[in-house]
Amino acid sequence: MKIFDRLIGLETEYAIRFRPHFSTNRPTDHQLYSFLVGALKRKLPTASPGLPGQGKEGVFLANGGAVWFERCRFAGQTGLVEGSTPECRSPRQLLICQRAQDRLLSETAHTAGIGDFCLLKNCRDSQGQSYGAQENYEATLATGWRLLLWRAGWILLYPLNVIQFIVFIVLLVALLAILFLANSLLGGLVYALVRLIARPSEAECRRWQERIFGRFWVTRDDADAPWPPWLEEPLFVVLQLGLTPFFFVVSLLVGLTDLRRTQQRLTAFLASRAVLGGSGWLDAEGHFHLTEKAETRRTVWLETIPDFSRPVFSNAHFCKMVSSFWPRWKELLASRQRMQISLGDSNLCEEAEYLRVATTLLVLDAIEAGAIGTAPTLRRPLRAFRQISRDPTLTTAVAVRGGRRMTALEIQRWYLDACRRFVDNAANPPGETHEVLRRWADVLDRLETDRSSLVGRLDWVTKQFLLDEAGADLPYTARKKIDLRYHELSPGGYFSRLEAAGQTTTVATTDEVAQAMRLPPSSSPALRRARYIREFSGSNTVLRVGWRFLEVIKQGGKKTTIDLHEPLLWD
Amino acid sequence: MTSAIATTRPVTEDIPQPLPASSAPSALPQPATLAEVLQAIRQDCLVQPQVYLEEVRVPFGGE
Repeated sequence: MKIFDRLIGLETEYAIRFRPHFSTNRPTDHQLYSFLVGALKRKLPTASPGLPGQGKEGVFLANGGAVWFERCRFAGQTGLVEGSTPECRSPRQLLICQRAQDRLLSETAHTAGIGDFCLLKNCRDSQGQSYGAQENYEATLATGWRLLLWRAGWILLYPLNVIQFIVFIVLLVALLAILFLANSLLGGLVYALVRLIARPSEAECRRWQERIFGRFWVTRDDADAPWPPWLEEPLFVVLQLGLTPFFFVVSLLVGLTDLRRTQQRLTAFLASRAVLGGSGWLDAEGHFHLTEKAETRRTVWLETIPDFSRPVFSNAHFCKMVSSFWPRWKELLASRQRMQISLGDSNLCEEAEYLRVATTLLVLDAIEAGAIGTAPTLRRPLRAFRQISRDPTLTTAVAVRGGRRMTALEIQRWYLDACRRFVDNAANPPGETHEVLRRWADVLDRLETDRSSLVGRLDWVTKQFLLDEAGADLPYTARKKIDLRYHELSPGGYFSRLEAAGQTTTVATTDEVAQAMRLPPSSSPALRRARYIREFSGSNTVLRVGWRFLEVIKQGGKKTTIDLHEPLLWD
Repeated sequence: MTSAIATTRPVTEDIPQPLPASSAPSALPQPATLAEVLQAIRQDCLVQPQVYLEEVRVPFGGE
């Protein structure tokens, strides 16, 4: 088995911060996203998505990656900017693409000329709402009888899913119709009374209409909700509950695969990885945590209620494959699938980002090669995530099966030793594996003996240093501003200031990042996606782009579908 | 279904023009030493921190 050969990618949600220069009106998040994409289109060839199951507003870029508007809930103008790196194969390649994405988006936002517009690369807002980073690793879902079970399960599940979906849609439409009718009658009566008694101005009338009937009926903007704000929450809950049976069954189905065994062997590693990849977080009581994400996970793998369960290992992408009228069977029934991890933080320190991905990749390679048969198993994983994250002294030991207790550093060293043996026994491992092992060991040593030397290399150490040195004795709000502004991708961001002063270390070179802003990585499906985007962007040919497939629709309607994972004659 | 397609132009590795360099003006002069950076951060974090916290709000979160 080859090391560092699987496809990997990162998804990053960036929070939007905006302060107008002149006007007091703040554009909506969706309008700011539109400005951003408009400016991106002037820099790079782009193409629209449009294949079934994508569902989100976004654009693919000529460097192979994509940018999306991650709408909060399913209505309204509030949301996040999400960037997806192109698929890569080596951790260094992925780091370069992630840095290129960060730079492309932050520079574009900064130069949009519409005010103080910047993005924050973090995972919690000032109120503690969670968003942020997701990691994707190609992994073996199942082989042999487990793969047969997976396929049979879907063949049985799909008709049930269709029936459940139709029943659910009928009930939802009926509910909406009743609510709309009731709201139109009662709301119309209230609105008529308001106009008759208060005689509001035109602007006030519009506000009343938005409040009573929904913003869409005033703005006619598709991004706005056609229902009143109070209806948003009940509709969302109904949608969540309607999808719960399906998500539950999919979780059980994934539980029968080899992927679940891989995830079980990874869990202790991911919990302890906080010491490498945590970004640091100041909670509402002023306590410092290693990670932003540890407190937000509600399950390890059982994903039952969409957008509520917040598992470490997400199954939502399996559900999305069958969420359209044309299920993506070829992807869904394949032996190799995407494993999505939602426990990691977004990083500003290059070395932390590099180690977060590279060590996970190496552990995954070792597990799939059979080199990690038995790994430390956390007795209570969710509790262990929190215990490790809440202890910046790194002395807390968490319970593992067999009656032992291990600290995060001990767990990391266990995996490091296993990976060393795996690489030593491998035939011709890539040179990068030795670089990863060297950096991994060095960081663990320094965490034990010389933590201050990791300022500028690990985010949580750097943020804690800033809070101690620049934020000592300051009120909570000022310290919280340090916690948040550390992540701001602008010259005013606190990490950026350290970087500009030469206080941080880099892994990727400036030239490598500049190139990845324009060009896709080699030996990846992104290479072919990018070629098609450059070829057809701005032409009369319609291009519909996806991660796996791409459609070329020529004048006259002739459609050709390209599988980006399969070699073509000219490759 | 996979198939090679005939295009009007050959799909080749083109040589894109470099992106225009960022013309972003620095919001603040960049301090040269760590002590200056820490001092600048200490001053900045005290400037309307509550306003900043209000600006970094994501109703409902994401994922």
